[in-house]
Amino acid sequence: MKSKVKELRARHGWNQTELAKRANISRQTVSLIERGEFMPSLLIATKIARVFETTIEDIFQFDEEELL
Amino acid sequence: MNKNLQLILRMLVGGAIGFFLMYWVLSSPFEGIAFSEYNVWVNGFLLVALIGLLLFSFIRYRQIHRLLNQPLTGDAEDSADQQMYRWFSDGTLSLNLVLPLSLVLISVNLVLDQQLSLVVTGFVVMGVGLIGSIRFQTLVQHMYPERKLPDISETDYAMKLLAASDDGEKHVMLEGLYKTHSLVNMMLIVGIILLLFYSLSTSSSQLFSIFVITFILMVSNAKYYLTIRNR
Repeated sequence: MKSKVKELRARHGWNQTELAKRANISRQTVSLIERGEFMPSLLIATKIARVFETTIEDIFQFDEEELL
Repeated sequence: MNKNLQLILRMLVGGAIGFFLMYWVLSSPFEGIAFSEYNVWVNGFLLVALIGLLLFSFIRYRQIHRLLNQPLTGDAEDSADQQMYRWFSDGTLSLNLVLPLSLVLISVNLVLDQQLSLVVTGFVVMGVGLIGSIRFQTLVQHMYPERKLPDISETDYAMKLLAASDDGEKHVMLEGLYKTHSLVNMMLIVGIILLLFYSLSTSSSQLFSIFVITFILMVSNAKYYLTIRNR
C-alpha cells in the first residue's frame, strides 16, 4: 500500500504531531503509516482523509496484486 | 537442502546434544547450588540491580519532565515526542523489573534465614517501585494532555487505557504481546526442563516449582486461546 500522508502533510506545513492532533489519532500511528508499517483502519483512514479534505482513495493506494 | 531434511537434521543434532547433556548431568555428582554460600554475592547483585533500576527510572522521569517543558515546533517536536515515548518505555520497564527482583531479595533472605534488614529493604524498594510506577502512569496525562486518557485511580485502568489507544498503538502493542506470549511459553518450557534436570541430578526435588510453572502455562494459554476463540 502506498500512502500520500507524508506528502500531504508537508504540503500543509504540518508536523506529525499537528496532523495527529487534527485527526485525533496518536503521532505514533501517523509515523507508522508514513513508514508503511501499519495499514490504517477504515476509521483512521477516514479521519486522515477528512483532515486533508480529500478521499481515502486519494491518500491510500493499493497495488493491483494486493487487491487480488 | 530440502527444508524437511534440514529440520530432521536439526532435530537429530538437538536430540544428540540433549542426550549427552542429560547423560553427563546424571552421571556427574552434583550437590545443587548452595545459595547460602553465595548470599553476599546474591544480595549484593540484587541490591545493586534494584538501586540501579530505580535510579535509571528516576533519570528517565526527570528527562521526560525536562523535555515536556521545552517549547518545540516542527520536526523537533516530533523527535521530542518519539524520544519521550522511548524514555517512558525505558522507565516503565525498569520499574516493572523492580517488583520481581525485590521479591527475589525478600525470598532469598526469608528462605535462607539471612538478614532481616534486607527483607525490610526489599519491601521498601518494592514500595518505591510501585509509587514510581504510579508516577509514571500519571506522567502519560502530561505527555498527551489533549487525549482523553483514564485516571490511574479509575477501576479497570488498564482496559480503559487500551480502549483509549488508537489502532496504530494497538497494532504496536499486539506485536509486542504476541512476541512476548511466544517467548514466555518457550521459556517456561525450558524452565521446566531445567528444574527437571536439577531435581534428577541433585537430591533437591523441584516438583512443586514444576507444578506451579505448568499451572501458569496452562492458565495463560487457556486465557489466550479462549479469548481469540470466542471472538
